[in-house]
Amino acid sequence: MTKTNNGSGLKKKRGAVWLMLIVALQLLFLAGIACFHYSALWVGKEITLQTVPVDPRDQLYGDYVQLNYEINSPPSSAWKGAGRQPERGDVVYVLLAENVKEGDFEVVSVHDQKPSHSAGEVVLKGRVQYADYGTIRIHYGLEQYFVEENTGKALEERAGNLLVHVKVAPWGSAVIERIEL
Amino acid sequence: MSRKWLQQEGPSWVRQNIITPEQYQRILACYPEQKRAIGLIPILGSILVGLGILSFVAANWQQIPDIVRLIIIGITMTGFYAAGEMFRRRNHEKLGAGLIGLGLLTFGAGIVLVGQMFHLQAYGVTSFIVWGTAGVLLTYLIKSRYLFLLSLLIFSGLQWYNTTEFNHFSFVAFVIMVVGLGYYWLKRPDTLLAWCLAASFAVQSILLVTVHEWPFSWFFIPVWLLYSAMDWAKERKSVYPFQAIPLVAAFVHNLIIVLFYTDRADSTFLQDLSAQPLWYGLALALLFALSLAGKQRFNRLSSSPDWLLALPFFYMPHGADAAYLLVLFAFSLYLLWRGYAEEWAVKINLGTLLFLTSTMAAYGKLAWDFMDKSVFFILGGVILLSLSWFLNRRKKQFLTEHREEEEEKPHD
Repeated sequence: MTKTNNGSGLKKKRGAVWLMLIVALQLLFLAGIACFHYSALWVGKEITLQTVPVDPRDQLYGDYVQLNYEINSPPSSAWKGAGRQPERGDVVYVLLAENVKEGDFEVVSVHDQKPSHSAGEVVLKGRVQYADYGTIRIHYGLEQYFVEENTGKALEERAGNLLVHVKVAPWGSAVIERIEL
Repeated sequence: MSRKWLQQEGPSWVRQNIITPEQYQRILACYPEQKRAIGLIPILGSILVGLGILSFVAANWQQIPDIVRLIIIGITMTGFYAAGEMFRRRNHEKLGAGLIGLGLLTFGAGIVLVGQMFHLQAYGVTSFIVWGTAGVLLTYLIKSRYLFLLSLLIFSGLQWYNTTEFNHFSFVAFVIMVVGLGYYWLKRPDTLLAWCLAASFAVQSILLVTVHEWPFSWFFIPVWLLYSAMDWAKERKSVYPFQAIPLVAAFVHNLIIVLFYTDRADSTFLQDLSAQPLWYGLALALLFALSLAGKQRFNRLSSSPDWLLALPFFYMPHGADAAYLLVLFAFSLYLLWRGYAEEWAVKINLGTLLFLTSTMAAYGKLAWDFMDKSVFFILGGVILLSLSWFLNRRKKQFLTEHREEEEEKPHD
């Protein structure tokens, strides 16, 4: 009897080690993705983007502002990828360059592979939402900005005319740093 | 009969020499203790707490600095896992699994929170795949049905989200789910888990076909593959959901064609459905051969008529609906017959239901066009009522006979 108890005790101990390992990996994963995005804030190149008006939309995620950028809808003529036109769900790389007069960054071209770029330009990774009527609708994952509870509506009304400062890391992750009101 | 009552009354029957102590023990053994109902409470509790955490994180708490929030999530998660492990060691298996499930849910909340911290709108499901994979690993470690179902739910949910939001099917997630949870199931077969896994497999196959805008009939290749693979399983009892779900899917598909297809020259209904004939036919024939070989090996060739449902009548230029209708009838009658032959109530019930459905479909198809609508409903109802009365009587008769036989056996 004691023997089997010992056996199952040993098994349980080994199980606990595995559990610790799995938990540690989960903690590491959460810390890892946090660091991945933090690093964009530390070493990323700052660019400024101009927003355009958007219909406010509520979702389950607490209070946030829906942002719509000029770079969300480049014209179809900007497509420089090989082969077919981009379709919903495709991953694309968007080359941005600074418009010296306005001070913000605008779309130069849209590619299916990561293009080479000069010092004054950045490449953002995005996903095609749809492509029709002469434009390609692209989401970059920068389209929402979480704010304090109950302050979203007021900001949302001005969301059509904001300058958003984004940090872009050399490895492609982009994070909103602040919003210029 | 309640076990408690039996425990109260039983000893007096033994004293009065109505039954022997041995018989009393055997009767008692027929009514095992109902541990399950109590075991469910911690699981339900953990689901509620988990929902609370998710909504707490979702309602963003901006006052607290990002890094502190992340640490709070980390501590909460580790705490749930540690508490779960502790209770498991003290032999509170259900409570332990419930708490470990909470740890897993908190991990998911952490992923959402990190996205929120950086104002990111994810455009992929990679981090959710990591979440689901953690669930699968925990399922192996804890050996809990609850964690199995939780992981299955995460994978089904992320696939649904991926296809509806991003129009993309994640094969990686699909493979991890099917291999990870499928292998676990192989080691520890369980009927409920089989139903859920098979249902998720079928739903994800539909998502796969619709996302790629393939002709719908391609849906049946993975589905019949599942069916055929299960013909190679030696054990019968817990495997049947894996074959029942494909059969139900095929039946519903055929039923829809019967109901909504009208034989007109300009109809493209069936053409839109039809896969490329050569490859589809080849794939189907291959699966059929695989299935038959498995059935042959385990002496189950009598279940081959299941494949009636797979017949691709949608290639026929005319009369596909009539052909499918015949198949529906043939299959439900065959199922009823097998049910009585195998003395298996599930099959009898399902056969009855399918037979009634086929009857109604046939009736609707034939009578709708040239009958006054009220007469249509009244007559249809009468047909259904009398059919169900007849089939029920047949079932009762059969079950009584069956029971009498059973009761006679111990006397032999």
